[in-house]
Amino acid sequence: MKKIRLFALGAALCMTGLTQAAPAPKAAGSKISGQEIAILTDAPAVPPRITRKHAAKVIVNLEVKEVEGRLADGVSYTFWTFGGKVPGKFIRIREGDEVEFHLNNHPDNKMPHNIDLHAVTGPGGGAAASLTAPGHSSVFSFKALNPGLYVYHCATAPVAMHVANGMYGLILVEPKAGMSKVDHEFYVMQGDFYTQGKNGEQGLQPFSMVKAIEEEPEYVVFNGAAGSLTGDNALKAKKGDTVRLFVGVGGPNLTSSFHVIGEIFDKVHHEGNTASPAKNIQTTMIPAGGAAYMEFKVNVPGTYIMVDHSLTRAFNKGALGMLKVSGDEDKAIYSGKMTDEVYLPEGTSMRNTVASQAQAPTAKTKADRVKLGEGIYNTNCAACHQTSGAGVPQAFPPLAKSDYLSGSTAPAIKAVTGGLQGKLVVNGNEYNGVMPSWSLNDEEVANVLTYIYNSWGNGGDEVTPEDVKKHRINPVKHED
Amino acid sequence: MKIRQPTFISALILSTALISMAAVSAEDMVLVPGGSFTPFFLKKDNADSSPAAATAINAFWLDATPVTNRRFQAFVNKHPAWHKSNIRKIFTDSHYLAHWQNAQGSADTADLDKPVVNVSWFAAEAYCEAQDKRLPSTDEWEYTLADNGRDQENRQKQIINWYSVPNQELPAVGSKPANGFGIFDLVGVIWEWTADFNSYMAPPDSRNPGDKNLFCGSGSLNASNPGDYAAFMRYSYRESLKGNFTGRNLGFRCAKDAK
Repeated sequence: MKKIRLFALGAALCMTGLTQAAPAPKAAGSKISGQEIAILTDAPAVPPRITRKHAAKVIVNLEVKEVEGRLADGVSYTFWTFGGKVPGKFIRIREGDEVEFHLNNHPDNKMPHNIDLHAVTGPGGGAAASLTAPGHSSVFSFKALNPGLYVYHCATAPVAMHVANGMYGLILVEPKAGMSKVDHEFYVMQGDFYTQGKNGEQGLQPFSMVKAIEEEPEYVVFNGAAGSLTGDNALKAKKGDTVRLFVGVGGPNLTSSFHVIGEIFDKVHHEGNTASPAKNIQTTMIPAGGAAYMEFKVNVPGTYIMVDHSLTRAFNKGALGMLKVSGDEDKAIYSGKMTDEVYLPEGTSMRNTVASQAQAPTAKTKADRVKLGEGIYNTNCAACHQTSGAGVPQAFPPLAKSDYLSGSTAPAIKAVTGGLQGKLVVNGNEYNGVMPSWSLNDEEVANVLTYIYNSWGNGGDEVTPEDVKKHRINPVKHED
Repeated sequence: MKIRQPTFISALILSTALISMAAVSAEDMVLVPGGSFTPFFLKKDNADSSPAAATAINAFWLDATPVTNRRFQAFVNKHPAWHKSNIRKIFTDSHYLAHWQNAQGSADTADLDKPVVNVSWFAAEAYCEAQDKRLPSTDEWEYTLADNGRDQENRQKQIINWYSVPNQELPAVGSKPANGFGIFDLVGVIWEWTADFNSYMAPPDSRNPGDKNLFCGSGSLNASNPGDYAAFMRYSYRESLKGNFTGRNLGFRCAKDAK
């Protein structure tokens, strides 16, 4: 409290100083000197570290634009944005700075907008002062009293819809002492999206008020779209680098159990606090309308997957990103797979064989195969390729109307029995994942493939157990 | 004008059913019968009463369609003070009739039947006065949109779909079906000025700090139906305006007392 008073006094003195040019004693570091225009960046980029040792007047120009953009492959959405992209521009200032904020609402927009910066102390966090009609701009100013990583968002009614359409971003108020130098800083923000069409339904999807109120999003994504941080868009670092992630959750509704698969956060600054990091954290909880930043050294090369560890969001709704670390392997820290042996617990082998023989009816006709294959598909394949055969954009290729299945059936048999790995182009989209090999017997492989070939607009081929035997890669584990 | 016929018929059916008098004037106005509805927000001078209270509306005449560029051009020809090169600075921002881009500062022939936009409240009010009309009140406008509860779900969807898509070329007025009162284009084409556009949300005051505002969660405290996102959008849009503002999506239509 005392501190805040001191700052307020500093600000007041400063104002008089400006008008009367009367020098006055001020708290160290809170004196405003110099003026600059804030560098704003689109995710995943972060503006450069602040190196000045004094407070300054900082001018922020942020333009609100309503734009149509990609939400997932073949799916577009009308985003409402701070600066043209979701999330909004990253703003970086220093504790004690005086910010002159210009909120510009593009004349093509249909909606009024404003901004509530959680870094602002004052009614509405700026929202009350910044309600702006299309074609107009509002100016307000504030003093950055508290250091930390803060969310900003639009707060015009209906607030939930403005936020659901992508109106959020992060503002970092660096502490007076500054922040340590790291090799990479990245900006990641999670949001949930409510489209009228189901996940994967193609075309321009309007906002669904009903799903938003029910809190049932079709998409949960990082940086405004499924795949915005995967493949070529993956974040990149080199072995031995220190990485700092600024992670926010725009919501409007879901929180994030943020996790990087295969990494341990050396430090997590919970809720964006700059004072006391927690150490050695696996998963950190980030509230809707909240943020955290975390630092870790990448010791082992490879691809690290960022997820919301509420996993169906990652698997089925898009909350998945990648950090690719290049460099030489270090077997002392991580060996990689050393051996792969068949594991046969004592006494179970026989029972399994008997059981599978008893359960598995043999198909007599193609129609039988399709019917039996469906069950096998739903048990083994649907988790990734989906019951609709549509797959998951950026992660799992589609089996529906799939050009991968248009020629001979041999590659499909090889894929199921031997697995697949690495780059693969299906229906014009590139995938780079892993499919394990399946220990299904010839009859089962024949049935599931026949089901796939006779579903979702594929060619209608029949695959027989003899075909499978001919092209099989790995032997069946339980048949010998 | 191509919409005269359907307006006349639907309005006639309604008027015989509801108030039994001829309902279409020579200027394509429709007599909207009196009734009551539940406003989304109450006016600030009523802010202490219950938000769910029904508000009575007297019968009034309302333009069947938004005012077109053609009609606004005729008005400007007759009243040169409202020409874009003559208009007084206090009555508009710098975008007044910005879409009238030819050398004479007049409407593009291709746009004549489209709704006029980029007009300030002052210009809209002046136009209506010149026709011996006035702007509708927000309650009258919202009552007309509420349409006695007809087809509510579809209307809400239509509104959200319009708001969800960035600017498109404006259609000619009356291109889509009229509502139950025989009124066209209330939603899905442009926003419209009302006489008392910004008198609904009270600013914070000492008795009731903060909770009558239209930002963040507190905006929903006062609403009759917090699930009606489209209504929030209309009221917050109006709240963001000042009388001299113009917008690429902002036009108007006129009303008149029924006497």
